[in-house]
Amino acid sequence: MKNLYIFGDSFGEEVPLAFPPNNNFHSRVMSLVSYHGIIRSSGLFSNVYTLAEGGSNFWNQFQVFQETLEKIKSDDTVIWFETHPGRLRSRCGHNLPNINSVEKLRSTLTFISDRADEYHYQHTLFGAAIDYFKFLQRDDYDDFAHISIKNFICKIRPDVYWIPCFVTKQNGLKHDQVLSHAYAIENFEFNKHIDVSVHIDLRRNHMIAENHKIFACNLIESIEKKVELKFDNFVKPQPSDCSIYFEKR
Amino acid sequence: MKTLLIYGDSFGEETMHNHIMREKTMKFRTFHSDIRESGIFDQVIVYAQAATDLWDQYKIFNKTFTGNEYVLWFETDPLRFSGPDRSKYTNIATTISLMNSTTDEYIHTRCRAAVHYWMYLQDEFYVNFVHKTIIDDIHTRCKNLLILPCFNTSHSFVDECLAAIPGRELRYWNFSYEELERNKLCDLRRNHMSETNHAILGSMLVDYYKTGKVLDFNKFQDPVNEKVEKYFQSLI
Repeated sequence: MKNLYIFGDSFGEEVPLAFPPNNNFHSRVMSLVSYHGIIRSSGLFSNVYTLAEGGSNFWNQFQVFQETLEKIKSDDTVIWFETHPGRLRSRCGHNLPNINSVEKLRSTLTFISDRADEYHYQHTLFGAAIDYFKFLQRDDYDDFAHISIKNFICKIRPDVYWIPCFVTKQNGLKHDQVLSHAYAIENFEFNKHIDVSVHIDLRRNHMIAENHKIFACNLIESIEKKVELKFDNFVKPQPSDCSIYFEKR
Repeated sequence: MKTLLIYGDSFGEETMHNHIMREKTMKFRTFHSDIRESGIFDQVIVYAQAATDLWDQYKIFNKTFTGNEYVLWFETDPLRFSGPDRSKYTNIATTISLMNSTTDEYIHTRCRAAVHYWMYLQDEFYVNFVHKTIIDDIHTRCKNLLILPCFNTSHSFVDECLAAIPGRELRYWNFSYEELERNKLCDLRRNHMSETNHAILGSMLVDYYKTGKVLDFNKFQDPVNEKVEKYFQSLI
């Protein structure tokens, strides 16, 4: 039976990078339903290897793909959660994968500012990354690089199953039906009850369990019947879900 | 109509972007004149600009190349910074020097950002991947393409590059960049070459376009008939 390989960003990761095994919330987060488990128990694949990583940019995942390539057999399935082209790639790569937005970097920088001695290197790197996003980043260059990498992957594995995570409008990279719709729907509802931004978000892959089940069904249907992946049937969370998925900072 | 389009960095530009240097150097003859006067092309258009990275020139290429023109490309260093205000942040040395000399907070901040990018964030494999992709695309689209490596890091580099010429000339004149700096002199060589080597490059290019003969970078010479004072002057 064939294997499944999963590449991509936080929408694809199985063990959330934000909640590693030494984190207080790790076991709670891992007890939540994720589509990975549903796919595993579907019996479609003999093994599911998840190489996707939260905060990872396309280039870093491309490196992981190249390192893994010789293990992937021709009849194996490769799913790629396609991240945003503007996510910063840097030489620090795996050590600091969460270089993905100014807001996130700012909040991390504030956190480590009080521990400047301990985090001197990270402090410098985050400062450099913020500067990069603010003053140097060019969207057209990022888009070109993203498309080039994708074309390269498609030459090696034309059968990669692409799942767009973010809305992008550029030529050659136009996605309007994306996985982050589920996140947007959920956040809109949650924000009616709590301020999501000031809470610790425990959702796996940015989705509540119900949407994980829906996504898993959509994905299995799409792979088995070779039909387009649906993104339009995600559900709104209930007010009671707030206490399951959010903790005060 | 036979047209030659020239893209690239300072090795390909026709007019120096610094206006004071431009006035002082316009009397020097360059390889561009040899190509123009050869009559091979009905028109020669130069898009190359000093301190430009490949991405900026590629965007100009996408807007200007229609599919039939001859293309001469001076291929720059892949690690040249690809950011806004390109001429300010051409490499880490000039950016640090600009950062230390400016009192303008905006320029200072951007210089610092560029320096930090080079020091902490630039991923050479990534930059080279994108560079190669662009070069491959240019190769695919141009039937009549000649790419000249400006640096030994340029992907078209085999065993010689144009950047070797300015150093060779300085050694012949027994002159150094430190001396240049110390005496606050400007290097007025157009495309970093004396007229001696411009004539050699011009002749090789004309020969290439007439007969297809491959350029031989070993033909560049010491500027034995030229005085160092001609090219190194104070602008004050």
